[in-house]
Amino acid sequence: MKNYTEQQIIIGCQQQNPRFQKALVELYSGTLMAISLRYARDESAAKDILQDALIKILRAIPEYQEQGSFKAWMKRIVINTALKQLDKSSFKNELYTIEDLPDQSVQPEVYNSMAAAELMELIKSIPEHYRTIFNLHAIEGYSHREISQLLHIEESTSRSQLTRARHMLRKLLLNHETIKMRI
Amino acid sequence: MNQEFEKYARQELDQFEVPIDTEALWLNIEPIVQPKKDNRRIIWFFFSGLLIGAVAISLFFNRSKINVIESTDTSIITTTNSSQTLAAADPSSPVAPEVILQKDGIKQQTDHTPIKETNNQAKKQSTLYTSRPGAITEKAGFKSSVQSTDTELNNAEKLKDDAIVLAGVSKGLNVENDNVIPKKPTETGSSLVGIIEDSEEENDRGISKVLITENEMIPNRWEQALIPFSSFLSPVESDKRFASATDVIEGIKARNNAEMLATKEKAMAEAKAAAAKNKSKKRRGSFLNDIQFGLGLYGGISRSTTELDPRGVQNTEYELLRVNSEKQLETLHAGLNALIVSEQNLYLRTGVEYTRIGSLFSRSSERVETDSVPGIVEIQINQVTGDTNFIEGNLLRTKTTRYIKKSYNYFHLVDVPIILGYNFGSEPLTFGVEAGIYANIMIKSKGEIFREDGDFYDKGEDPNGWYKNNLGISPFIGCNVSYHLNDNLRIHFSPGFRFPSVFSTSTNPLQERHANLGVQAGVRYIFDNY
Repeated sequence: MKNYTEQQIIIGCQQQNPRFQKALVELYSGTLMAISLRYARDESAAKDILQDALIKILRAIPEYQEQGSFKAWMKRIVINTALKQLDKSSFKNELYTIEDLPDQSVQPEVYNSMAAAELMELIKSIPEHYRTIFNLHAIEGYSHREISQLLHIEESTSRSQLTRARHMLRKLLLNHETIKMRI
Repeated sequence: MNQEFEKYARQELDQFEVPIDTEALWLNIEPIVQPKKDNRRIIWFFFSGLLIGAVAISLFFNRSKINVIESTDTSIITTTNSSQTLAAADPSSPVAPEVILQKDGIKQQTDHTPIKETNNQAKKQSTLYTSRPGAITEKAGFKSSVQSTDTELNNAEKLKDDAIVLAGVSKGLNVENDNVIPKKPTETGSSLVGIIEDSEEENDRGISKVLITENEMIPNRWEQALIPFSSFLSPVESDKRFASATDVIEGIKARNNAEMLATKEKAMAEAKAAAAKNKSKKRRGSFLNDIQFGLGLYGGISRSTTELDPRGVQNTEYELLRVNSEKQLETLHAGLNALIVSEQNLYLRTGVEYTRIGSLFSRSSERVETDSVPGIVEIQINQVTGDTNFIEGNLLRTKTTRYIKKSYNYFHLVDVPIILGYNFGSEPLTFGVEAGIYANIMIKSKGEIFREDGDFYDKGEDPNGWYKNNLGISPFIGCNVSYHLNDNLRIHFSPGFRFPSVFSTSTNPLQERHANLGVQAGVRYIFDNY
């Protein structure tokens, strides 16, 4: 594969040139697959999401306005595609209060040595709806308002589910720390 | 903890990439995102190429030998004034023709007088015998009927007892021009368009002939090659020709479903193949990743220059005979190319090429027939009384028939070009220079040429082994201009020169060499990275 610049790929794809379309797929598939995996149930579903997202990207690219990062634009498409495939009923309008949960700190040493793959596994181990909100807010940087619009839920639900997700992750990290100390 | 952990997770996951088989993924995506018109364009090119090839092949195979017969008719009519008499009508004349005049029906005789057949181009002479008009003469493998439709001819037939069948070459005739009244020429042959030439020939007996030469009759080759359009139209039953709208929609749906299914299956198969290819590609290393492969289809036309080299002084006359009887025609090329293109814009071109070198071999002969028709041969005017006396008799008429036989000679060559080239310029227009060799696999000769003794030599059978079966290697240089229709498809126009090759063996009295200068044009499809 030739080393095309991002600009060349964008222009080439806007002209529907298959060489540049293929270059886009080759260059960005790994990154977009990682995003897809964060939202999908399993690898097979992640591949489906990625394929659908890439088709959307290649079809939508002629209308792409070069405002902001191209990568961020593609990420948004992958996330939107993944969210459409989620079972929205799992996002119940449930409320958890902070008081319900014990506050226990986790030392940075516990997670600092964790590789991205391990972090992925850790995040994937929490229930899908908590994970989705955690990913959207903590990793992608969406606000609760945006999340509520994307998932058609209340903002408060988004907040409480994020809290729940954090709590679960903290527990998992503490368990991880305990196992690590035992070793 | 929350913020720090999330910040760390964000950083790590943002850079995280999961390895994926992009080749298989692209194979799934490509049929969906690629507009179908691109495929159609390739198909159009392919079928256009096929059509052009089919027409060229059809033209080539339908271009059979053509025999052309030209006929020249000469009519003579003379008048005299009181002081003159027609020499031909009087057998006692000191310049009487070299045949015996039979009169008054006492003895019917057709004089078969030898005439000279003059071969204009080959300077070959032979003798043949002719009879009265309407007779059929056969010589040298071709046959012609001398037809006379003129009224005078019919009259001459009736008055055959008085007829003179006179044969002789026109050069023996002479005339006094002032007394000559050219007569309407006799129609001969088929529906050819005639051109009256300015030439007149005269003899010393007051007889003149006017040559009427007809155009060369060359059948239209396109007519032979083209199949009438109507033959493509087959009768279709009415119930099969029309379908209801519902049927059409159902048909389209069914077809779409089938296409989708086929596309899916194809994509799966291709994905597997791509995965296998990827594995082997990794094994092969980076060199092959930097080159591209291409396939091309092309045709061309060139001018073949022929050099005939006499091996001895005694062959100069034979060389002249060959040069005068053979006319070089266009040379046609068609071939399939395979290309390897490197990242440095160097390319190696090979494949297989068919070349047909054509020439026209022509020889002609002329037959002159002379007979007589009844008419006024003398007008006597009494200058005192003013009385006019018309004396009737036989008038001489000369008919010249010219035969031209033309046949096409061919060399059929199959070569493998091995050409190295370099491309420069930027898309969509690139230029290139190339050089290499043409390795001849096979050469086949067809047609006829003159032998040294003036007879014909069949090149196809080649009984004396005059021609080679293989030319060996010929150097080639050329250049090209390519227009990139898209990333894969290019059309090119490539002038080139193939250096002379010796076609003849040492047994051939003349050394025959051919070189070609011409152009080729075609289409090339460059595949994406291997």
